[in-house]
Amino acid sequence: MLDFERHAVRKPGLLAIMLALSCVSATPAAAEIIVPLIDRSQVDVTVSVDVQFDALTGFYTYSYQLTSGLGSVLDVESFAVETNAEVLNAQAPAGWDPGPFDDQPLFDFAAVQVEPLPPDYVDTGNIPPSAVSIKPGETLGGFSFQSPEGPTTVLFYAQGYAPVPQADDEDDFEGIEIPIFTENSFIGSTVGPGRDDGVVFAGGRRPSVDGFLGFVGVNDRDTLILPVVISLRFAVNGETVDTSTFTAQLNRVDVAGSFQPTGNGDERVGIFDLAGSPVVVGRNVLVTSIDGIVPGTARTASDGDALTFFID
Amino acid sequence: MSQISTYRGSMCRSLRATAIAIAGMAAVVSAAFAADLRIGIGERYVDESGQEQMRVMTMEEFMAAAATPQFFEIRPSVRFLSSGNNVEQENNVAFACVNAFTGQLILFCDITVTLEDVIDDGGHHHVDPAFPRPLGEFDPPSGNSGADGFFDTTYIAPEVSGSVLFRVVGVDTIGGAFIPPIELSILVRVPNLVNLPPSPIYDLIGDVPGVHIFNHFGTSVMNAKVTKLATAFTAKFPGRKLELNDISLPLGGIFDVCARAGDCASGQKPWQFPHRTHRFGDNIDVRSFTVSATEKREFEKIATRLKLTLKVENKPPHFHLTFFGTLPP
Repeated sequence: MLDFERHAVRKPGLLAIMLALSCVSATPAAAEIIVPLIDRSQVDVTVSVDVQFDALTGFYTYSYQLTSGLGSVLDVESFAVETNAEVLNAQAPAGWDPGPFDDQPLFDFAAVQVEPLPPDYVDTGNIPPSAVSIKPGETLGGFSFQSPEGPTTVLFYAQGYAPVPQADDEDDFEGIEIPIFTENSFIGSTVGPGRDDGVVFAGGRRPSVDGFLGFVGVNDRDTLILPVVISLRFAVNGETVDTSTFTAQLNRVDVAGSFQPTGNGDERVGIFDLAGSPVVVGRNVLVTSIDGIVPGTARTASDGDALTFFID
Repeated sequence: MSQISTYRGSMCRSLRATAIAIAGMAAVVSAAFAADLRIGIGERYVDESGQEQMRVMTMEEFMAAAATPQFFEIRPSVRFLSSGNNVEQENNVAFACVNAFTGQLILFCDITVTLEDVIDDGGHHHVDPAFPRPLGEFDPPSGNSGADGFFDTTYIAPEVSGSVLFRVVGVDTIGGAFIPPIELSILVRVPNLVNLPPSPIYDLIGDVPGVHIFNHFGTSVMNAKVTKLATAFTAKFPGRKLELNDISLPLGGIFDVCARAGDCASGQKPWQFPHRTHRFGDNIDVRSFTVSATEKREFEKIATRLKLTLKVENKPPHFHLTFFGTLPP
């Protein structure tokens, strides 16, 4: 079981887009805008994720918990994970609806329940607020889905509630372009499905023992994004290894305990962020070792690997 | 026509230049011979050395070109959009008078081009003599072919789609012969718009008999998105159907929803705005006043996941959806 928290790392340039559009739209007559375009990225969202592997089904279950920070201006009403992986058996809290985007690698959870409506609610023709959105300071869990693909770092998008732009007629919108979901959301990174299991970096220097430990879904000297998700697989080729001898140092700091079993054989996953881990922006070196039996012999040997990766 | 090349030095941005030659008799043509004058077509091209050349098309080539529904096709222009998508659609054309038998150019020939409406075309069934359909223009509409034998002009497409007839006549200023006219057609349209067919999962509304009876032409991608939207909505609310209003007219271009006097309180006239984005097949209006609060919420979610951006317009109350990803021509 993995559990970790992640704050957003960047926001879209919607403000810049809106400023640019306001310049462009200077020519037409004064528009009768009733509801202007509102920046729906005005939320501060922390995502906690738990990843477990079910050996019976062969699926990883990704469970998310969202916390809307006190800095959020809007109530959170949508949360999407960016992934190309197959996603199934999605679950959502009451009043929320899970579903994929069309032709986009996004899996979304949206607050759709509107009842009970606010006592002062008046139907203006616009989209009403949801009764189950996440208000500033609140936490809501129960978002989950399964996937056959292992964990890697993915982007997430969170959007706050705001009425959509409204005007008397179409001409009033002249010069105003409505951004799509990904351009009008708070963007962060979290853990989701999508690891490339076809990529295993095993060191390559001592073929007889390289299979004792391999890094899955990552190549040496890759540039990664935070949080860094490192998957290890012991006995890549079915070798016999002694997992009690496993050691791992990230930038010379012991991180062996950060690699947690997912339940998928001898697979372990470690998640490293700037806060609470030795990972740094720039060059990072993860050094591992594990003892095992050299195939075809009774001899014990050690497989030591060094994975270098970079953080922009 | 495959050898037609962009006319060097012209304002044409995207379309091939087309040249038409009006074939006449040799330098001195008497009225008695005028009945023998025939029409031929020529074209500009760039030869292997990169030099621009003019070639007079054979009679057979002209007949083949004239037999097509339109001599050339062009997208409607887009003007007055401050979103930066304004595009003047132009096509350079060169006219010349030539000897039909020798192929020699008749120099200093006066050539005039006029345009004529095709009634009931482009999805516009309304006719109001006080407001004739914009046909675009040839700029300049007339001139002398001069010492090189060619009169160069540019067709500038209107914002309104539909067929436009053009007539070209010439006068040999040296020989005094009148060169009989040719008449050809230009098709102004947004290509590849497809009618959204009727379906039990949605209602098509908004057609106006005698004005615009086909108002649901969209790009194939947009139509697929709309169908998915309606399907998901009906699946969520069994028995309920979205009421789908205007997408675009069959050939795109300006959708003058205020085509008849009194249609719009704001006083717009035929061939004008509003409805300015309903010209490329990637915008649709959906009636909203019959949609409950719960349904509105679901509607927004479905639209968002389909990459359709959403606005609300009040007069009359409706959702306006735009498919992000399809840009004007």
